Amino acid sequence: MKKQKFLLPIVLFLIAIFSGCIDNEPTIEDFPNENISFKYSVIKAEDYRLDYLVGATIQFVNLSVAKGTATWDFGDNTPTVTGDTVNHKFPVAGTYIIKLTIAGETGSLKKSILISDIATYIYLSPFSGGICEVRSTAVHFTLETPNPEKLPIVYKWIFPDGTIDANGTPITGSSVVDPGLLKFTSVGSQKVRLQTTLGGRMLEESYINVQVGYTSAVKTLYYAVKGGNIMAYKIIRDLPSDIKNTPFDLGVKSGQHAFNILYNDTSLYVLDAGKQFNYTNDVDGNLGDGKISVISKNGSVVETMISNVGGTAFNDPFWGYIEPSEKTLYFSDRNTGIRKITLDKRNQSLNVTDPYWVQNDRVGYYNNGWSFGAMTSNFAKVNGTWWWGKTYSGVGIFRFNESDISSVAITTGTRPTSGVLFPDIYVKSFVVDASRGFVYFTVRDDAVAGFYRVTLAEAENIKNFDDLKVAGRLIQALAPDAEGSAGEYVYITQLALDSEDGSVYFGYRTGDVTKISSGLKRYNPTTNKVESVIDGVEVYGVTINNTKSKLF
Amino acid sequence: MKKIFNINMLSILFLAMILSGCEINDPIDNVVRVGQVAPHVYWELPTNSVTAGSPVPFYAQYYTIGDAKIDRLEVWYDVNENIQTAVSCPLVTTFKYSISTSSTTLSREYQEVISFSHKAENWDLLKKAYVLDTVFPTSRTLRTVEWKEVKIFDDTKFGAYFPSNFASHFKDSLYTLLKVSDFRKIMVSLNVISDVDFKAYTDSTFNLNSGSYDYFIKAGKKADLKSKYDGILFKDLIYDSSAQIYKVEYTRFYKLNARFKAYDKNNVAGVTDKKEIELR
Repeated sequence: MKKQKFLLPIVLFLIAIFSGCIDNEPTIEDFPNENISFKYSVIKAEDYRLDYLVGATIQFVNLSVAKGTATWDFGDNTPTVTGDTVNHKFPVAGTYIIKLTIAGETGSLKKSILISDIATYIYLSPFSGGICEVRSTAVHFTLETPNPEKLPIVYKWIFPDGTIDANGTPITGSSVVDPGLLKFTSVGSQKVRLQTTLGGRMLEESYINVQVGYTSAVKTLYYAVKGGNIMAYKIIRDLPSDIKNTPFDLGVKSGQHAFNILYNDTSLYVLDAGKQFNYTNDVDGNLGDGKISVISKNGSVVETMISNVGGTAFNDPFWGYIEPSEKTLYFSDRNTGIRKITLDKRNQSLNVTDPYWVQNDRVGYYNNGWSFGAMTSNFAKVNGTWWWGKTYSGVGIFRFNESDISSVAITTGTRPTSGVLFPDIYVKSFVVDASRGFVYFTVRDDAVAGFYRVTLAEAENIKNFDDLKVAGRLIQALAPDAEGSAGEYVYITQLALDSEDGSVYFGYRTGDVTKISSGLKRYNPTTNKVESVIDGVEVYGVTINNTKSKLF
Repeated sequence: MKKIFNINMLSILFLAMILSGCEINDPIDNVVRVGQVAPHVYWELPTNSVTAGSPVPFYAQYYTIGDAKIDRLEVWYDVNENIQTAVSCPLVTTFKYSISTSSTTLSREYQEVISFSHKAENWDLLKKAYVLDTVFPTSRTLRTVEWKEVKIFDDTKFGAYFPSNFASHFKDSLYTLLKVSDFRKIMVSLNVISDVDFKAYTDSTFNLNSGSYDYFIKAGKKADLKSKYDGILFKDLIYDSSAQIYKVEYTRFYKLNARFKAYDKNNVAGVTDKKEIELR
């Protein structure tokens, strides 16, 4: 009895522990149905289930919890229909809003459905060698047009300039299904277009880009078009007069602000600083949408290396440098520091708790040359020393060695002995031709904006604008555009050196159309002038694949 | 006996206190998730950009700790249409005139795209999870459509890609921004008014501050100039004679938001994070 007197309290205590005091609210795991709900799908496989083509039979199924007659409005001005499972066909392509109403239930549910038009698909038949060479490789196309209603089809081909037929005769178009074997006299993406009329109705134009390579192996320049795609361009010296050199469209978007692109081994690394690249009060720390993508040299494969989507905007990857010997990519954010990642990493999410490789307050320039939030521009390793460009809260190119990086935060530093280049000069981008002893750089300051070349020795003594004005240093004045804001204007974001001949390539977005137009530019070391490579294109990052190839 | 009664009474009071306790303190909820246990799922995509019509490779791991066995696996995605346009007038020199748009629309609802049956042989001893290394399909119809570097202006295509009032809006907005030198450039370049005749439309005053003449359109000539401007075709205003192209661009492309789901026999699903796939 003495033992039993504790039994009841113990049992009650256990009951109390193992029973909650409230009912749990439904959680996301319960996935409750909406009161009104429906789904739709293409019901016949032969109707191209994934394609949702015009004329396909689409089934709509009422999944509502609410009971009552289901009324469907398909948003295409056809009469409403009732029933829990109904079929419908859309004769015209477009996005329609489907509305389901349940009798006796307040409100309705609307969902969108995209109906795609029938289109013709152009396929390039395989050819020997695997590379379509300019003037020599003949190509052949085949077509596929989904045509369930067996309507009459009329084709009209439109060929790019420089297309020739099997006899070498120029051809601009054709109205036959098979125009036969064709060759191209231009290197680059040759856009073959096809207009299809199906049952008297013209479909949306189809096209295929034929990637036409050169006849011998040459280097490849890559560039990121603002608001456009990643492009490639063969660096061909002494181009024969009967061949035209045009860019390749890799069909991969550049992203929002691909200020730097870097090439290594067989891949292109695209650093996209995202939509918000200059100052904003990202109070919730979620405006980040930048990432580093890895793109195969022909554009066929695109992978994400590291992403800052949903993070803080200023942590997006802005500038980068690849150290091949370490198989490492160093990348900076907007104004805090530089991180590094090995080149084989994929699908990483930027973790802000991971330590920087170096940050502003870990180098002796902190509060002694630059200060908190000093804005980063290009950086690179030159003859074993790091050059770190800064454009705000400390301006110039600040040099340091890895041994100068402090393991703890610095309050006021002692400047590294390697020193500052171009102090208080807004150097936006630079590249060093170490073998020839030149520094190429662009200056964004309005009074002296342009592309410069100085020797490494001269660079040590440039302290102000007057030093920039010494004869021979300014190669080309280039009026800046207005993109960006004070301390973080975009201007010329990257210089790419062709170490073979000393050429320097860059993208220039004009600030004065009456002087020099936007385009891909080249510093020609023979003429000591900047010349246009491709006019009318707005370019951010540029880089070179030094491995020579006919195509990529 | 009295003592036992007291202990029991205290215990009942204690229990009543626990059962009517605050909502925050729920010892059960602190330890376990009430409800049905969903399968654990995880997936990776080696690439997030493929050509439309190409399969998207993915690698998924899944397992369940509940009593219900895995039943099936599914990939779901929605389709988002992105349209970007840009039209500019290359004839103005005192400023850049361009109208750009960018829009994203959910065009097809989040829905099942493909289902895979669960197989016991998917078990990976090292991962201690079932593994699925396969692909899901995309539609060729979702290919990127571009209208760029236009050499021959196609009114039908322009009408299909741009709102019906776009051209008039473009012209009217441009007109309000034009300076005298822009008017001259447009009128002379398009052979509407000769360079000599255009002088009759302008007058000038000396600006003491700048030390140069400021030109303006004569009040009496503004209506005539506007009339001539209105007579210019929209496509002529956007023609770049040096590049020999019309400065109009239209791009339509699609993105998918995809998730992987593992269902158990109770039809309870574990759902992965969302992956965005860009179709090219």
